[in-house]
Amino acid sequence: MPLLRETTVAHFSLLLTQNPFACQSFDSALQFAKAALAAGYSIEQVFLYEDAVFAAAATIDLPTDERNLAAELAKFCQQQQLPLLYCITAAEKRGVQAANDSLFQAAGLAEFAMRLANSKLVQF
Amino acid sequence: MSMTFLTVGDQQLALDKHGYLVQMSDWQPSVAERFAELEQITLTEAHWEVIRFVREFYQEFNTSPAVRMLVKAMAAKFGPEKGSSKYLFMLFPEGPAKQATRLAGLPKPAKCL
Amino acid sequence: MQHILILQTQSPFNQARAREALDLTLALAAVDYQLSVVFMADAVFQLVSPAELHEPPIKPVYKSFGLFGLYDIEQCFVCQQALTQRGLSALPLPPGFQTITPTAITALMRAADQVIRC
Repeated sequence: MPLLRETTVAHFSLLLTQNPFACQSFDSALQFAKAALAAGYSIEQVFLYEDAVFAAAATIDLPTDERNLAAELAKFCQQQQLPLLYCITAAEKRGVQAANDSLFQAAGLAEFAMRLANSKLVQF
Repeated sequence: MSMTFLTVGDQQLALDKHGYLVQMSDWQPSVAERFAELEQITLTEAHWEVIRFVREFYQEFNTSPAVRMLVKAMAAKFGPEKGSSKYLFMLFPEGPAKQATRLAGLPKPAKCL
Repeated sequence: MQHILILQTQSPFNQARAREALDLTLALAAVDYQLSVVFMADAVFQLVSPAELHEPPIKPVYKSFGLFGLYDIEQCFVCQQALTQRGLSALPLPPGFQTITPTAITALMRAADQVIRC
């Protein structure tokens, strides 16, 4: 079945829910985002929920031979000016605090829900 | 972590960092009266009606109602006049969900629901 | 109006996933979408009334399904096959919930504009 049917959808919403350190979903999302932009689509939002909000933590400290997938995604979103949002409630429940100059932007599920109206959801 | 307290009579009740009761079971009407005094609200029967309503809401759904939910649920039970954010803001100017749940001894409602 | 289908797949005690899926469902319902929710796989355990524990280790989601009506979520389904496989065929469902076959779930997925798997 084709991914996009009926009317062509030009915008994507990416929803991430897994811990950036524990799995590869941030890398998959990053690759998808690059491919989508290269193919002429646009990205309405990259939204972090559940354990993905750990990416926004100011205190992430990784050895240099391990990739910081959260930082890579954040840098890409900054370069491409894509809204990179995280659920503030999910973050607060986990004790996750972003830095003052964080590239991750605090938001609510309400914002995710409203932005979804203009886009096609892909989950990672 | 620093702990704040609400003094009710000779009791010291623990509050969370948003000023809500830590132990819901600590609640009694005098707790609502004390909160109201601190937040400069003069409690009327209309206030008590909302306080009782949010407590029943919590009993039924295990959730503190956010404002949208509160308005809808009030409308369903009491009709459109009381089920309006205007009416509820008149009673609880700092935000009806936020303030009514605090006075009712419930946890802080979620922000985005 | 967009039709969004939410597939609930998580057991109520798999970390906080059922709770966060519930929050997501309610947030979507607050926007004007036509929502359908299907409880399938281990998510059917979310519909079992938990024992009344004094202080449950994870806050139960069970009572919150009563909110679906308040949020105008009219299409609430439970996978018949998932119930049967778990010996829950006779489980009383919350008001407004009805069982659905796997074939009908496939049809729902086809008809929806978006599918969210929780």
